[in-house]
Amino acid sequence: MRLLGFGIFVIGLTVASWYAAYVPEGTGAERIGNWASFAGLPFGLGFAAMLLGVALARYSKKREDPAAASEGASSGDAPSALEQIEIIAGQLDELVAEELNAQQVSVDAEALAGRIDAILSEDVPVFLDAREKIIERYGLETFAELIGHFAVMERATARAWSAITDQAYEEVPPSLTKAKDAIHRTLEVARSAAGR
Amino acid sequence: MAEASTQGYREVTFGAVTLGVIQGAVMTAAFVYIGMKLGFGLPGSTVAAILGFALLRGVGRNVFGVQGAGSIVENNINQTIASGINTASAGVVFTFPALYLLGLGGEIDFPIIIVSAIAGSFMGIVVIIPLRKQMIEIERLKFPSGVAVATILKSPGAGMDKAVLLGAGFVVSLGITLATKFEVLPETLEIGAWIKDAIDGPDKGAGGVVLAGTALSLSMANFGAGLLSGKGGLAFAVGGILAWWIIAPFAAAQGWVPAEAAGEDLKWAVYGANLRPVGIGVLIGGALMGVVMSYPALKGAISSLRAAAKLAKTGEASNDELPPSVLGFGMVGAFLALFAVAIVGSEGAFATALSVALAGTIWLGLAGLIVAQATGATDISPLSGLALIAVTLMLALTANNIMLAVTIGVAVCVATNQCADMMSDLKTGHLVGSVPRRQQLVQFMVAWIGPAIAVGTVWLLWQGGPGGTDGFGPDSQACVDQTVDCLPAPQAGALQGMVEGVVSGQAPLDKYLAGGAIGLGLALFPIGGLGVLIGLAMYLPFEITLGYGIGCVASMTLEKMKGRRFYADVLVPVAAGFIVGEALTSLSLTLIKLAGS
Repeated sequence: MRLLGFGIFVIGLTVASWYAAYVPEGTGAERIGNWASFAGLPFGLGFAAMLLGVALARYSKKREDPAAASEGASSGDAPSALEQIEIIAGQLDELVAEELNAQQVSVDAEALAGRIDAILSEDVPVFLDAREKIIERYGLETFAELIGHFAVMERATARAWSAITDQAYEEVPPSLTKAKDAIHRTLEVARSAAGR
Repeated sequence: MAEASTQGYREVTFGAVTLGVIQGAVMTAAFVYIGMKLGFGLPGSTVAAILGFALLRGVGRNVFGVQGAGSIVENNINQTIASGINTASAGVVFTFPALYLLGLGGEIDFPIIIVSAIAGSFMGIVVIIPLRKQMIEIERLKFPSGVAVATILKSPGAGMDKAVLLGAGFVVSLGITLATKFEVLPETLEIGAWIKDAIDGPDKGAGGVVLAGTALSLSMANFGAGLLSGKGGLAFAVGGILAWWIIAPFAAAQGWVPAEAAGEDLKWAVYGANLRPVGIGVLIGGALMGVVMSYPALKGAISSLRAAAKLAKTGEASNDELPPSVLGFGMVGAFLALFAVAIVGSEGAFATALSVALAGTIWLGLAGLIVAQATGATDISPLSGLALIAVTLMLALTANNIMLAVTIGVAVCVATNQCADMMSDLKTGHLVGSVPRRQQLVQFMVAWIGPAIAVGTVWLLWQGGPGGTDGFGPDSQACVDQTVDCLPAPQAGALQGMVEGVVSGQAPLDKYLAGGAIGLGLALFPIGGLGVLIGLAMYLPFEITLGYGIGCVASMTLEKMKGRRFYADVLVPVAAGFIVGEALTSLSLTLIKLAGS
């Protein structure tokens, strides 16, 4: 049904766009009247088909999604979104648990930057892939709250990476702690939304 | 072992603010002049970021011996300030000079124009507060230029492989840009025209417009933006196909184009009369319904700002965000400023002033949303179309009071450009770990500078004519004599034409309304941002959308074949190199050309 809805929508869009492009004579209100008397009917039919297509696509999406959503907002064979947050939280916990100070960061700066980069380049995108599924399952408002904390984590992690590059090593431990706190707040929101 | 800095992490520093203000002020004046001379704007963020590297890091560390100077986040602040000031240039150049061209130069009230532009500048920043959460955090728009600048800022620590890829992208882009500017290669590959010649195809009717319209821009920045956008930008390319392969041939076949138009003339006739106005309508309808559809997300974004402020108050988290109260105060303040401008401009007509200020404020928010979405997905800002609607709306509300309509148009244009530019800088900040509150606060601090410089520069240029008048415009003495001092002010000339068209009732209101309805329908479909992306595609020539679309498809294919890491490790630096290479080469060539003339 989703495909049918999409097909009707595309046909409607095509017809409406065709007749929207008609150039009438006249100026001002007279111009609009001339346009409506020539192109109004086919345009209206096209527009109605667009709306019908939207309704079918939305209806079928609603009917199909609960099944997919019950899989835990997973994207393909990737781990569930909640599990992915747990993975990132675990990595940040590990980094913070090492109780690094500026001196220790400087000793192994390159390796640490690599671990941080892996979180940003590999783990964060996996979670973001499940974005649509999370929105469908928990709603936009909950997602906005969740992603707000997640974004703080991303920024703080990126700041730790930037600080290593700039050799501002004393900035790294507090940034990682901030990232860890933020991912745990994300986890809290996700768990509460999932009812766990 | 590298030596650790003991000075703390440098972010908002005297050096960054000073350099940002100086760069922003110089760029504003220079870009106003370039806009008046050549009719286009130039990207300020990239230049500011690279100069920031050289000056803050190179000079700061090596000449002044400041330890840790020129950090990534410090340079982000410098770049945010510079582009935040410079952003006023495009908004002012498009609107304000039109008053001179319309013969109203003698009636201009400069304090009012400056207040209007400054109000717009502040409003642009205020609108961004919830939009940043919506577009960058929730919708995850790509903002290709923002990603490109972040890639440059991060390049010292990103490793040799990425630096080589960034450099390679830069060199390829530089080579192609130079080749097109010196006419070794054409700027646009006229694919359709080649096919027409090969098969002896038609140059009129449906086939004629398809062949004339099918072209590919050799802009590497455009291709690079497509590479960075990937799947998210595909709707934009589909919109181009809808416009040029479906709507345009139908219009031509029905005879809704001038009968004598053929080839390139036919293409531009269809573009100007059939596609572009519908595209503007679709953009607006799409954005309006987009607001309705994303209301829960906007509500969530504001709740999230409130929650962040609460956490900061209780000490559970640091305060990264400006509180939502700033949004409220800012909107009220800017509304009052616009109202004051409107009261003066309408000579005390309270009802007119109120409606103008209200409509201006609402339109500004909507236009901010449109440009943020459009630049976020494609790096292209539909500024001229939005300015046209703003001025049309204001002319309708003020019974064709051109002075007031353009004055409010200045505010809207400055604000809209501010939204696009600031959002890109905030995306850069997000990727390098800057604190958004600090970026927004420094932008608030300097928001008044750009409008004042831009308005002042336009005034000076006008005074530069013989007898202290007529310094620019196609009818100015320098342009009539075709001397090197000619400043044709093409963008303001376009607005002048639009204003004259609206006043004489020629505005294609039917297209705006029909396009608006289509935009509403598109935004209802369960694919985010569809209305704005399709509208933007209809608003642009096909060579842009096609080049961008090829970038999207290439990105999707490569990511599928090579995996996710390939995108981050290879595509991002190469695409950043493409964008930065074209921006810097174009800027350098423009400056050389102007110096030579």
